[in-house]
Amino acid sequence: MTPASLYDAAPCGLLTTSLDGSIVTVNATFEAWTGYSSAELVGRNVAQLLEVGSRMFFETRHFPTLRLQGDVRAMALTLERADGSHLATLANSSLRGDSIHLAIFDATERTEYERELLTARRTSEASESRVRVLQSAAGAFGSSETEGELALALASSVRTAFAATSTAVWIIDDSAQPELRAGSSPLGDLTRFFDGEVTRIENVAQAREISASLADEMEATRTASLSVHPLIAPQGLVGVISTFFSRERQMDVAYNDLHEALARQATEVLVRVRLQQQLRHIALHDKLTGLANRDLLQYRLNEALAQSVRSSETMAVFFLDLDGFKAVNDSYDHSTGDAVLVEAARRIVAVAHNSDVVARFGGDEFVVLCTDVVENGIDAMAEAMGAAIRAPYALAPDAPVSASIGVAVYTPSPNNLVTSDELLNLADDAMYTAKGSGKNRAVIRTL
Amino acid sequence: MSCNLDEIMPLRLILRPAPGDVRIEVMDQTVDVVSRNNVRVIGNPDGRPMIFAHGFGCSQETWRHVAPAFLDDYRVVLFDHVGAGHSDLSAYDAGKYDSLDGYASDVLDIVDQLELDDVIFVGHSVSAMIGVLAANQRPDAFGELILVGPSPRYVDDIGYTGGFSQPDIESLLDSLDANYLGWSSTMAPIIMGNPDRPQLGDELTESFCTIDPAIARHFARVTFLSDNRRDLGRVTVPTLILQSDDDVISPTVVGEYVHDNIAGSTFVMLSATGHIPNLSAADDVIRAIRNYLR
Repeated sequence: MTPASLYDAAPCGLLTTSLDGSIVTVNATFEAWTGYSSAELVGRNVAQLLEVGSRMFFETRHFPTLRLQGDVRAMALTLERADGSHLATLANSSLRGDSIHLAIFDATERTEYERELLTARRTSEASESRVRVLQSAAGAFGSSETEGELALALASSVRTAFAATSTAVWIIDDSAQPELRAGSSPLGDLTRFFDGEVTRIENVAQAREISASLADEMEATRTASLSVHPLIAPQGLVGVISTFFSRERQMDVAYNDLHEALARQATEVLVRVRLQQQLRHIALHDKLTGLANRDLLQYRLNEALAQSVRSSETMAVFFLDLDGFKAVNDSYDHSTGDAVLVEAARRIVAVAHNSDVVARFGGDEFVVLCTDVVENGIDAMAEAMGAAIRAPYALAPDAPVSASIGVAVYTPSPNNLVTSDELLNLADDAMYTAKGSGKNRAVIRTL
Repeated sequence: MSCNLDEIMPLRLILRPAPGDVRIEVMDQTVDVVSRNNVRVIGNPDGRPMIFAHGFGCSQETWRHVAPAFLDDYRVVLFDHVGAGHSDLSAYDAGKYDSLDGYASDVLDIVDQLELDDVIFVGHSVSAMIGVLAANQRPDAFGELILVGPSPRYVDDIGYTGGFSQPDIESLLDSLDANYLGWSSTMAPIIMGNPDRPQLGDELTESFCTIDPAIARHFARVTFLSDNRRDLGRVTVPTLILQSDDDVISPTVVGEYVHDNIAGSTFVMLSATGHIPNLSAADDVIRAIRNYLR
């Protein structure tokens, strides 16, 4: 066989092109495969013979790699034949001098097989991605102990799952006022456009149908698409998550299902976190007055003591016992007694500093833990508490109430260490001294 | 092939811990832009800064025949977009790079970190629009925009010809997958027949136009499904548009659209053909840039 007939009869398509891809020679195999004659092919750019996706790949990827590397092997390219049908091929290309040489192999069967593999892989990857998103979200949500942590976990999970530009999570509490707790919203408080339903806005034109100002704001902030998903608990709306995209996105069923699943998971955890917070509050507070109870006082007292020892700063414990409270219960009734206790608690809180812990110790006994002690401040504070308690109670005008107050003031030093019980007992002791020496007064002991 | 699940991020990108995973609001101020974007600064240190930005599909290597011509007079800055070339793949935050704005903010990071001003920004393909976005955000930092084969939108729209349909873009994604299925970085050593000498395979995949397949897919979506037409009207920086003949990715009609919509822009038709004149006709591109800057 002559070299020319070998060329034409080769079981692969052979082409030579100029550097810009214009076909110079083709062999008979390539003519037969494409259905074009040599005359029709020569002078055409090889990219024009490719199906559009391959053409884009060829131009953006094959071409630069070939120019830089000189060789490209086994690139998958799909030819578009004269009759419009497609031929899957693998192409080897080499750059030699001013020419590009291409050898093209029919890869129909292999490509079909790969396509099946690919479809299967895409499907399994998509569902695995979904499972993975939900699993990692479940982990992040589950380890959240506060609403803030949960809001962060939700914002982060959703942003990662959808490659969103940003996400924003609003939590709605008893005040029914949504509060932004995680992420950020390019559009400010989005909840004003929101009616409690899932809202998907794929582009600005759709936004304009809802609200012209929303559409304008989207344009101004380069927000192309957004969605809003409510967090709905059995007791009602507890939050909103909004997801923002700088590029127009199609929010199809898969998007919505996954987003709703994440919102649902987060809502369940939010309800649980709230319940735990409620239980914690109940366990540590006095039901009548809302003040800290003995357990919480003990905890905070130990904490304050340790801190005080570290910093060598003075702290004080006030022990208050109401004088004349029994008469309130006797002259009026127990509900009036309760009301007086609530009022007394309110007055103590008003006198105390914000950082102080005010506790109901039992019956008509209160304790104030003060870590913010200023010089000569103890006297003034005891005086103010006494005066506050002593003021008349509108509900019980005929049963005057006052307070006997014992104060333990402690400044730690290495040879002067006490326990919280000792401190409390000292204050209690001082209170009894005050009571024993005529009530309605304060006795201060310093350690 | 149905692609409605594609908007959910691929597994590999989910598994990658995104920088935003913990606190999504805190921008890392200490990010090393130079290693993140594989920034190279060469040429005349006292010259006017000239940033070259590569397009979809390859890396800063696509400027290797053009950039040297400017080394004597300009401070030449080359870089790889995150996900391409030798950029830091761990910096790939899918949310950030889901729009061209994320890439534009990287360009501004480079401008800031290198303290550049009066920048000549030369952007090819998708980087032309990235340059437009960066310059619109900080027009004071840019002196000139040179857009090589720009397209503000690749998909046709009512009253607009971009050159492609939505199914065309899906077809490109299929083509990407078809190529990476058998030719990914994990497969290369086996195909080379040298599993014991992986460096051979490394050479193959490391050499040029290195790209992470999962990122390439996402970048293809972001590149070819973005619509930045409205940003053209906001350009205030003097702009040169270089259009090559027979560019199947950014057809001449699109280049003319860009010219018509950037007030005062200059349009130059190159004698080059194809989408990457910076590789196929570097001299032509160099001449056009020099003439414009003269």
